Amino acid sequence: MLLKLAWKNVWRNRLRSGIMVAAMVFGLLGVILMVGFVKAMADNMLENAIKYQTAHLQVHNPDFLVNEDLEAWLPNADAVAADIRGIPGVEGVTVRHVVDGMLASAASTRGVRINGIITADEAVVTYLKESIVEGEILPVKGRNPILVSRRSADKLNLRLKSKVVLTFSDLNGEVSGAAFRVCGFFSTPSTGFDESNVFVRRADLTGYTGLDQFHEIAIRLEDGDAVDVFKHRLATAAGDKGVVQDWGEIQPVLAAMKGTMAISNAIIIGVFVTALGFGIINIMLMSVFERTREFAMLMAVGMTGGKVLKLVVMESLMLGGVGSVLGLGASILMIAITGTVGLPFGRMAEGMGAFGLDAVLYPEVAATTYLGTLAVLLVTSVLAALYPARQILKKRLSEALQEKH
Amino acid sequence: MTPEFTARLAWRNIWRQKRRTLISAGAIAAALLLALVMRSMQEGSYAQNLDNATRFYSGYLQLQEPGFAENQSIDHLLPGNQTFYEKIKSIRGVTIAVPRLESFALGAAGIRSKGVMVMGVAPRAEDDYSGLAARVRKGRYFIDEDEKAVLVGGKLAEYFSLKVGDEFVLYGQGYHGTTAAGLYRVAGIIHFPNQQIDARIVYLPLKTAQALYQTGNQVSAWVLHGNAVKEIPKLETSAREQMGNNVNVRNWADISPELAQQIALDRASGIFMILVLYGVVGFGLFATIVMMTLERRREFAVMLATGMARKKLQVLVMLESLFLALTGVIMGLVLAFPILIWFYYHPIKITGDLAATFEEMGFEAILPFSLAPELFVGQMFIVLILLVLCSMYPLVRIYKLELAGALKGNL
Repeated sequence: MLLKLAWKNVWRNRLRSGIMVAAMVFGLLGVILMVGFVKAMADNMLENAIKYQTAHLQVHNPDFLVNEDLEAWLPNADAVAADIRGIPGVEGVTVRHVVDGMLASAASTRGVRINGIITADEAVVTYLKESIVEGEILPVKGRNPILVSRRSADKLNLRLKSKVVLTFSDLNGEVSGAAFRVCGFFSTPSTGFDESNVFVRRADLTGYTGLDQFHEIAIRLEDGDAVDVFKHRLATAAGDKGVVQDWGEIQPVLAAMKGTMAISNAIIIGVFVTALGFGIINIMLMSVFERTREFAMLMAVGMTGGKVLKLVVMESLMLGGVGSVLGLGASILMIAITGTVGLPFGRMAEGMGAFGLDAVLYPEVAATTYLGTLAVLLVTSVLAALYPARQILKKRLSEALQEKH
Repeated sequence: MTPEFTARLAWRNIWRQKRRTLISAGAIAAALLLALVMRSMQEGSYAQNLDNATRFYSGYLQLQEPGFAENQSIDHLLPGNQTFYEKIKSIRGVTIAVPRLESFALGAAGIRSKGVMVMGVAPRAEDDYSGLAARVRKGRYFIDEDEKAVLVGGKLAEYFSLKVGDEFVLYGQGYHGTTAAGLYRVAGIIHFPNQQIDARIVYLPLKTAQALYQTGNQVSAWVLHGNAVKEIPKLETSAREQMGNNVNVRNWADISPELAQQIALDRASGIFMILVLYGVVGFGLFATIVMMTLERRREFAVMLATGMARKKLQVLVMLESLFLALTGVIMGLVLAFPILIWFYYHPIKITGDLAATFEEMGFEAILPFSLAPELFVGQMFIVLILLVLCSMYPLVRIYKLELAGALKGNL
């Protein structure tokens, strides 16, 4: 009975309630788009970092983390890698020989990290192969092939088959160098990574550094959520000879950013729910005050204060509920569409690249975010009814009955 | 009815429903407050970061040899002499101009080597401009214009285990295919918040760098500074006119596009959020104005019937909406001003993990506020647009009001 009455009351002034519902739909569309975008950004950044740079786990000599030194190699790296490859749940393992040096062309020079890799192993760990935009990944045959990024190539005036010179210190501290021929260009979403990395065949590089040992094991897991378990397991096995790091430790800024984004999303939702809450209070105040006499009459013929409160709360809840459901429904639709089509960021693409982001993002919102927002909005609707209801209940019955609107 | 009387009537009308007016105005005030604080913080930190970031690298503008932008080759250089400097100083709006010779080399110490970024700077002029001496953490700054000494970034020094006084070798490609090689003493260790730079940067006195690369008295760039970030476009135009076609004028956004686009992205998302918020508040304002119209249909009809012109009545309700919005705006400004002014003089210092994130990105870990008048004008403009949109409804209703029906109280 009370329910039916409340529902009818809400729609007595269709225009006013309609405006409130429209405000909620508009607000929710905006907020959810924002939240979806922020989440897409965080996810994309992490995903790209894992795909192209860090993989899930890395193992280094503890000294290597202090200083990326040629001598800080991992003992028996290939044998260790073979053992790890045998563990169920590991998708791929690659072992790299790493040295810092200089990349020079006829036009200019750049400081880079030279990664000596085994192509076949690398392909199951990172997306290097997928990131090649021209030419081919390091071939098995041919003399000294090298992969450079499209960005570096532009700055160094390089084409396919151009000759470049790599210079670095060898094991004896002598400056050593060799000519390499460009076999392909890669391009990852991160401009920073692109500018500071080149890839060569591991056997070529160890020949020039004079060290037949390796510095870095990178591991890709079948299930990214299992990182902690594997990390623990590998760390126990490695003892103090190797340090096992997950992607979050390798890129602490990204890990911190993920936390910051969750907080900023909560703040955004909080601000909008408050704004909508004020809107509901305003609407309920109007709707209650224009019915002062009506409420007085109801109470005079025996309705209790508790029931009046209940009625007002129900009306507010229904108004807020209809707005929330319609707003969230529209938002789900919008996210479904933008999540499929993608949001392109043409002009800002390079700035996104500095963050390691793709130029097109696909917003995504977790079901818990929808449910959480719905719950908060419903609670807000109830709270928003309390003030107007109190105003009406505190009036003297005799005065309220005489009030004309 | 005199205009004063209409205004007084409008003012009294909005206070007939005190609570409703206060809540609607309060919503506008809250939105304005939030928008101002957020935008002020955004613009403040952009200006701060730009001034900071541009000083030690891009400058407001750089003058370069036209071929340098393409590959930063040591072969594309500009004159570094006094005549050229005088010509630059005569560009209108230029306050500072410092020469730099930027290139790459392989740095080596002990048995380690690493590709480094070499920056030849005029010791005194550079310190006056970018405060380089203040970044020295250990050792000292350059004393002589041509001493064979280097300043190295902290992370780089860590990599080479360098101490002040140690020897450091630079080896690379010099002017027109010559070999550049030199042995230097570490005069000092400097610190840059941006770790990528800290791990790669080596400073040399300009003359020493010119000797290393055998360039003679030439530089890779003249870095220009002006009075304010917002005057950069003007500065750019006059620099182009003055320097002619043989000099490439590049602004900071061209040299560091990532920084420019990060700012654009951040600004766009801030503005988007504020517009949505104003949208929500606007619906609230609309609901109030609609109610103010609907519940007074009979009153309006009586006023029209007793001889008031429709136009006058429309002016009256316009004024009511205007007063309502103004009340909100004034409440918002009264709340926002003390906050903004306080933070303008006492910028928020960020601590903990977030501070590390900031420094990693090359920004100082403070959040300065801006008091630029454009910010305030922009927000007022948005409120004004909301107001105009919202008052369309009552204007049309009054225009269409049917006297006979309204007098009888039909809704």
